[in-house]
Amino acid sequence: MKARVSRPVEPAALRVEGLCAAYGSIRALVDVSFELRSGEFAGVLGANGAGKSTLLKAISGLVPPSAGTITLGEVDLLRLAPHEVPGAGIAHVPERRRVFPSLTVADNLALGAYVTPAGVPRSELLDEVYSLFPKLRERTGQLAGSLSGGEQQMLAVGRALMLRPRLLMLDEPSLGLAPVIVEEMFERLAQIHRELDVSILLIEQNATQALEVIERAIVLTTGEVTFRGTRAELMGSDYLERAYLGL
Amino acid sequence: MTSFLQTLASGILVGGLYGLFSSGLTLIFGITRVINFAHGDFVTLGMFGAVMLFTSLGLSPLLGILPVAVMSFLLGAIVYKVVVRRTLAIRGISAVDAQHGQLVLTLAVSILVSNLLLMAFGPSPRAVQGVLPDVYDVFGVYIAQARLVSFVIALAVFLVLYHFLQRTLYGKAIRATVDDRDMAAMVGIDPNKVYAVSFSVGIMLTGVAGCVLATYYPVTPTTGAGFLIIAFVTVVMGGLGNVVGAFVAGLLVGVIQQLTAIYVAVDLQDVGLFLAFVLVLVLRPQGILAGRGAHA
Repeated sequence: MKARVSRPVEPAALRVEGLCAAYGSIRALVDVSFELRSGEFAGVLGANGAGKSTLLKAISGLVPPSAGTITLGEVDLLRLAPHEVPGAGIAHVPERRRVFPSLTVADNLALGAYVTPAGVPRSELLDEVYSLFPKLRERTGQLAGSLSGGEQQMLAVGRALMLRPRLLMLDEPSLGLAPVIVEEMFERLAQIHRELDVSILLIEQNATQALEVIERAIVLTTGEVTFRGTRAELMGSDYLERAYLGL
Repeated sequence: MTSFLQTLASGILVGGLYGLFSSGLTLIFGITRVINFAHGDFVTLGMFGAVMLFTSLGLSPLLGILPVAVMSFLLGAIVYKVVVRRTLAIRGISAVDAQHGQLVLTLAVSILVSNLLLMAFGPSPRAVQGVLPDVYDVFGVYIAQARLVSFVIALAVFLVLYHFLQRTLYGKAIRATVDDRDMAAMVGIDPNKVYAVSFSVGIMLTGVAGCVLATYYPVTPTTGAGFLIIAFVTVVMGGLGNVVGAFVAGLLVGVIQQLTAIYVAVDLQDVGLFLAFVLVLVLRPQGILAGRGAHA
C-alpha cells in the first residue's frame, strides 16, 4: 500500500473509568475500567452477552452510562451527543456492519467522511480505502444492500476509515462471515494498525482470531472485567476458556 | 380523440401540482414517520400567500414563489420545533403512542390554520386574476397558460428536490438517516437536524405548490381539506416515503380525476380516484414504483 494520507490527526488514548450501564434492571456493565494507549491495538473479549457491545455503545454515546467516565485524549465523551462523537475522532464499526443499504458504495464512503477534519483530502482517504479493499473499487456504483456479507464488512470498515479516526472501534467484524473472509479481514485490520496511525479497539467473541492481531486485551464476564493483560499473558493462561464457559 | 387528449392534458397539468405537494408529504413521512394531517392547510397557506402578495403588492405568483417558499420553510421549521419534535422526543412510549400524539397534534394545527384563515379572510373564495391569461391551441387541444406554467414550475421544483436528495452530501445524509438513524449519528449526522430540515423542506414544497396553484384555482380557508385527501391517496399509491413515486402518482391521480369527471360525471371524480386507489392497494400495495430504489 503506497498511497498514504498526510496525517495531521494523531491517534488518541482512550480511558474508561468505573463505567456502569444497565438496561432497566439488567446490569450490562459493572465498574469497568481500562486504558487503551495511543496507537495501541487492544481487544475486548468475552462470551455473548458479556457486555462488550454495550461498552462500545457507551463510548459512542448510544447507551447512557449510569456511572463512570470516558475520555478520549482530553475530551470528555460523556458530554457529547451521539452525533458529536465521530467529530472527536471515534469511528465505530457496529455489530452486523450496518452499511446504508439504499445508498451506493461510493455514497456510503462519502458519508463516512461527513465530519472528517477539513484539512484531510477526501480523495486521498478514498484511495487509501480502495487500496486496502480493492473489491470496493469495483463496486462503487452498486447499492450497499446488494453486497455480500464480506463486502459489506469491508465497506463498514472503509466507511469508518474515511473519518480519518483517532480511534477505530470494531464490533465483531467476523460475525456471520466465512472463515476465509474472516482471515482476510483480520489481515487487513493488522495492516491498518501497521500502516495508519490509529488506536484500535476490537470486540470479538472469536478470541483465537482476535489474539492474532491484538496487543493487549481485557476479558468481560457478565459485565465485569475479569482479566486484563498482554496477548502473551492471555495465551499462556486458561482464563479465556473459563470466561467463555462461565466457570 | 381530441376530447380524450384534452382530458389527459388537463389531468397531467394539475397532477404535477398534486405530485409536488404529495412529494412534500411523503418526504416528511419517509424521514420522520410523522403523518402530517395539516398538510393540506399548508397548500392553502401557499395559495393565500400568493393571493395576498398579488392583491397587496401586485406581485405575480411567479415572483411570489420566493417569499412563499421562504415563509413556508420557516413555518415548517416552527411547526416542527414547537409541535412535532416534542412527540418524537418522548422517551419510554411506543411508536404507536407517539403516532397517536402526532395525529391529534397535526390535526390541531390543521384546525388552527383553517380557522385563523377564516377569521382573517372570511369564507368566500379568493383568486389571483388576470395572471397568465393566454390559452394555447395545440392541435385542437386547449392548454391554459396558467396551468402549463404551474406544471413546469412544479416539475422544475421537484427535479431540484430529487437532485438535492440524490446528489448532494446533505441529501445523502438524509437518505442515510432514513436507512439507519443510529448509524447516521455514528458517522456524525445530527438526526434531529435532518428531521427538522426534511420537515421544513416538505412544507416548503407544499407552499410552493399552493402558490402556483393559485394562478388558476380559487382558494377558501377550507380548500386544503380536499388536497389532504388527494395527498394521502397519492403518497400511498406512490409507495410511502418514495418521492419519485409520489410525483408520478400525482400525475396519475390528476388524470384519473379528469377522466372520471369528463367520461362519468364531474361529481364523481373523487369516486374514480378512490376506486383506482383501492385497486392499487389490492394489486400493488407496495406502491406503483416499488422496488426501484427511489426512496427518500
